Amino acid sequence: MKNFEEIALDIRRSIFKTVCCNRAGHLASSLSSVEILTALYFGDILRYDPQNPEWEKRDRFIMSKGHAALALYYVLAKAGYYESKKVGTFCMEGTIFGGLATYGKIPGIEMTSGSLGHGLSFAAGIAKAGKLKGDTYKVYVMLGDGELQEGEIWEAAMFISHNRLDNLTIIIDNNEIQATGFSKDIISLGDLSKKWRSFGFHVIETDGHNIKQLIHTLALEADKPKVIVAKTIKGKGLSFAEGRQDWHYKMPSEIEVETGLKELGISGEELITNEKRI
Amino acid sequence: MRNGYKSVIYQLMRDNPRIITIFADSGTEEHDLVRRDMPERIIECGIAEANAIGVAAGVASSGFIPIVYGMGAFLAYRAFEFIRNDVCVQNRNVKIVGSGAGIGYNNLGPTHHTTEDIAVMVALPNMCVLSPSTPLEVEPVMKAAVNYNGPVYVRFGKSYEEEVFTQIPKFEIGKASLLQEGTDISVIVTGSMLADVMKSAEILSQENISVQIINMASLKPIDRCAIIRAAQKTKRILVVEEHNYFGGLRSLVADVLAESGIAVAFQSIGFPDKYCFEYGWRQEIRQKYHISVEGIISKIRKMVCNE
Repeated sequence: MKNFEEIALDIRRSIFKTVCCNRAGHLASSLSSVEILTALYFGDILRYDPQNPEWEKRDRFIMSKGHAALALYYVLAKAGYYESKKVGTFCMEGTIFGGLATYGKIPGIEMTSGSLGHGLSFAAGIAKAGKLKGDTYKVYVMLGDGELQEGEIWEAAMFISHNRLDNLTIIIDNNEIQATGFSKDIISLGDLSKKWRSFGFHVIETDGHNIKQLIHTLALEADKPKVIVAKTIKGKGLSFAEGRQDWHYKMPSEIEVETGLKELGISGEELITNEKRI
Repeated sequence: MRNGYKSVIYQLMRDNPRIITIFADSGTEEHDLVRRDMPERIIECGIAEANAIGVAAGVASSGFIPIVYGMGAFLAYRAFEFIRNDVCVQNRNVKIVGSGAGIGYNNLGPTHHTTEDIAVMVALPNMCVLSPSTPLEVEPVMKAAVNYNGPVYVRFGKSYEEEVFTQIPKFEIGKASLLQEGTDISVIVTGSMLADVMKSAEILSQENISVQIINMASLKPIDRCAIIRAAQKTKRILVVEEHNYFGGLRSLVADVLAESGIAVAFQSIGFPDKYCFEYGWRQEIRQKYHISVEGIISKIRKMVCNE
């Protein structure tokens, strides 16, 4: 039996260390998606082969909220696609690991992300192609809640529902905060579950930081396309960032670095500070 | 041109099971045979062009060759960012066929006019841009598009385009076709204006003006050698297109000429950076902008005789 909490903590530590050293990345957004990614990759949900990233029968995971790229990079490393230390070059000269993931450079990355609202149409195309070919692979796509303000999401939602793409699952990282504030204050999303249900989806709400619950929810079979509304906390694990609206793209101060190290149980030596970047 | 497409797409899809056609609530007539015999290979996205492009990128990533068929204006403009990010940035094997090139939708006004599509499509790295001139040229262009591994935008006409070929012409991506040799001026043309250019050359030959005609069905990559050879030979170049002055064939040819350092007399015919609010027959509207036989003849006379 794997200790999922330990895996998640390890990923969370790696994310924090990298942001502190390299002074780049969407820290809070990455932290809110750690448990969801852990459940997908280590909870026997996704079928994948790190030795053969383009394996035709693999399940596809599309990270549409590209800001959490750093979390996905470490998850893919842990899953065996490449060595974890490679991600240490994040956003530095010559790296393949950018602030947003690029398709074709990093094994395991299915789509170039960055512009929001693109992942769902792309995932829908893969799911539809799977049906046409009679393939049994499944398609999982992670959306941010702020991303749901993009009209494209709803074009894709109608398409998925109309085509009964029950091989597709959407996971919403519902941390309720977007770049410049709380979603409810910017453009409120209303009752998310009700919205998705009315679009023809099977909707399940869950705690986005409870890995066992996430695995259970992801494994549920449905005869409709599925949406998992996962309640998360942006900046999860760091007291100074949790649920704070100013942490979309903020670098931790010296005091916050100290606090973060303590809270995540990282020893100071582990943090190789890149002076030039601080 | 849409009739030309009808038989070509049927044949292509019948012979290659990897080809999938994707609609955005447009194109049913041209695809009635496909619909009859291969209905499962048409994916309808409804009035949602951006989604159609995103879906196409996903379908392509699964090994199919999707052809998104729709109105050029809505694909090239509305879905532009999806064409850029999902197709070109990731070099996906997606074909986009936009109908109504120029003012093909003559009675529907500027929202439907496709007069800036070349400009935006050639600006995209990885994108190949093709523009057949007549119904018979649709076949070799579409075959080349499907056989090419990467993004292709096909700028496609509508109805009533005049045929100028007696048989299916040869076409190769990146190659211009020299349809008529001439010594006084080279006319470089793309799309359905070819018929008018040929008529103009015929009339001008009676005035002893010798017009060379170069059909540019491949806009990107563009045949630089053909442009340079024409410039060296005739020293006068006229570009004719049903597109805005900026960013179309005029700009593409001018780029090549500027870089080559060859001095030529250079003029063009197209829309003069204006939206077109006129209605009526396509030929009549074009005439108002001198995008016509009369316009071409008058410009060539000036260029050749009034130097």
